[in-house]
Amino acid sequence: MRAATGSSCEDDAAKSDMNAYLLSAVKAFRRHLQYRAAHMVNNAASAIFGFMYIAIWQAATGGHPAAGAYGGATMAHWVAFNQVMLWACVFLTRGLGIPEAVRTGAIALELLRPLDFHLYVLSRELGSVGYNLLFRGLPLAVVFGIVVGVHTPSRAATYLWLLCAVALSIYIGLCLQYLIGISAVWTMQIRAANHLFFTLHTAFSGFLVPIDLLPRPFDTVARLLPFAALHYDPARIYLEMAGAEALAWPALWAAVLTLACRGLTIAARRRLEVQGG
Amino acid sequence: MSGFMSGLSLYLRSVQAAMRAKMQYKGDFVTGLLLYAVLSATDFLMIAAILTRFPRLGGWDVYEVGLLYGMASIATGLYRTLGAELHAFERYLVRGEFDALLLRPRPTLLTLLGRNVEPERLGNALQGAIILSLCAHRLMETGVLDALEVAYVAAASLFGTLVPFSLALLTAAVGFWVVRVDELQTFVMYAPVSASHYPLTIYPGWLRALLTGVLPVGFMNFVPVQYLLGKGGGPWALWLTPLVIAGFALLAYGFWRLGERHYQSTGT
Repeated sequence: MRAATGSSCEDDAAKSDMNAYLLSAVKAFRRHLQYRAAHMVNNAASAIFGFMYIAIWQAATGGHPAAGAYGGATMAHWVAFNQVMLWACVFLTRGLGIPEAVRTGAIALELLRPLDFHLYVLSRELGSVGYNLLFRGLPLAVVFGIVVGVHTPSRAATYLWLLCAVALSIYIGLCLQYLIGISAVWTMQIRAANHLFFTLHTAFSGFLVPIDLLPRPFDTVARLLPFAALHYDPARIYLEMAGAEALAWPALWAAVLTLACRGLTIAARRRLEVQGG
Repeated sequence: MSGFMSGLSLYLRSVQAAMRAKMQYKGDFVTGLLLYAVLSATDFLMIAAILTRFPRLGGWDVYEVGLLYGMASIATGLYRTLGAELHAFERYLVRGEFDALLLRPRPTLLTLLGRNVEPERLGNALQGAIILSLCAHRLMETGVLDALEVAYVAAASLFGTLVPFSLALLTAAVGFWVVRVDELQTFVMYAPVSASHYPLTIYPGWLRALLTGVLPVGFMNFVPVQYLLGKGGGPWALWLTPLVIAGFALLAYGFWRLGERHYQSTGT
């Protein structure tokens, strides 16, 4: 991408690259700040969804033996945790803003920049994720904390595994959304892909129904797909139903999705060059 | 009134034209229809998953909850088909496109609605109708419902489409003051409609009050069904339901008219 021009220059360039990635994240964060008031309305909706799910689980499990590990109180924490996680790994900018760039033609310029496109788009979105966690996730966590209490893991190692699980969840969420976005280079619009993503997420991520409670063969399908890494695995670790072993499958998916994203970026670049974009 | 009637006939003709336009691409329509049907059925899959593991939800079995789900899906599916432009109303305000509607000598709402329909969204209503039929059939077999009661449920499903419609109208009308309403839509429409898939009795009191008294999705399905299944309420539920829905629709339309008078173009 960048011609090699001696090692000190290389260092400077690498540093300014880092700044460029960071800057794009900060810009995204600032852009969101302007709409704080509107976002608070949405937070109220998120909280209501949460209370609704908690009520559903309490009505379903209420003293029922089939609940197993998933009792009413556990499910309240499960729901609260995942309502917050939604804002970190699922409710991202549609297609990470790539379809918009494809429509306006700005994608040609963005691909020309001496930055890694995949990394650039991801770091830009990380600014949004940071904003979401602070201005959507945190208020929600406080509300749920007041109503259902805060679950604090008892083992110290859990915090470390949880951090890894959340990081993997965010990364996988970003990569999935990147794949949806980059598909716009071929399909021009991502409505169907987006709809499909949300459907698969509803069914197979375990954010509402823990996937081991799904009827056969859906539970097996859910275990194999990457969506469980978004909610099910982090929630299991948070509630200490699973340990570090629950990180293996998400880590594998993170690697696979990275390859897929890089591959499609190369293909997209080629397609744009052919188009003369 | 005659202005309204001619507006209505123009609206019906616009809808026919929009439908015809969409039907030029039959393959796209059928694919879209099936896609929406299958994708939206996931919501019921989740309900069924919970009710396979736990036999009852606040005293309701899967067939009874399916009745609620089916009714809500038919109502919202019809709304998303016919109310496509109302659902995307923020765009009209942000880009100042609403000004063009004001120039027409017809009620703005009818002109707006007549501009586009999304027949493939009927897929959502279709899967709702299928689930409703299966559940109603089962409840008739077990003697819980009779044919007349099932007819009421079917009619209420169609009439119930006025509920999401009115919620959308209220949200859009708020836009005349604040312009940006997409985030508000989540609160006014998505959350209450999702909540209406389950018996409202499982929710805490304040949430139940919100869902019947303020954003009355409860009247779309729960209030009459609760009585028909013998789980509470009284015969009043059956005649009160259409009255509340009609009243709410009138209120929403009144608010829309009020907002319209207040409207100031963004000038873009």
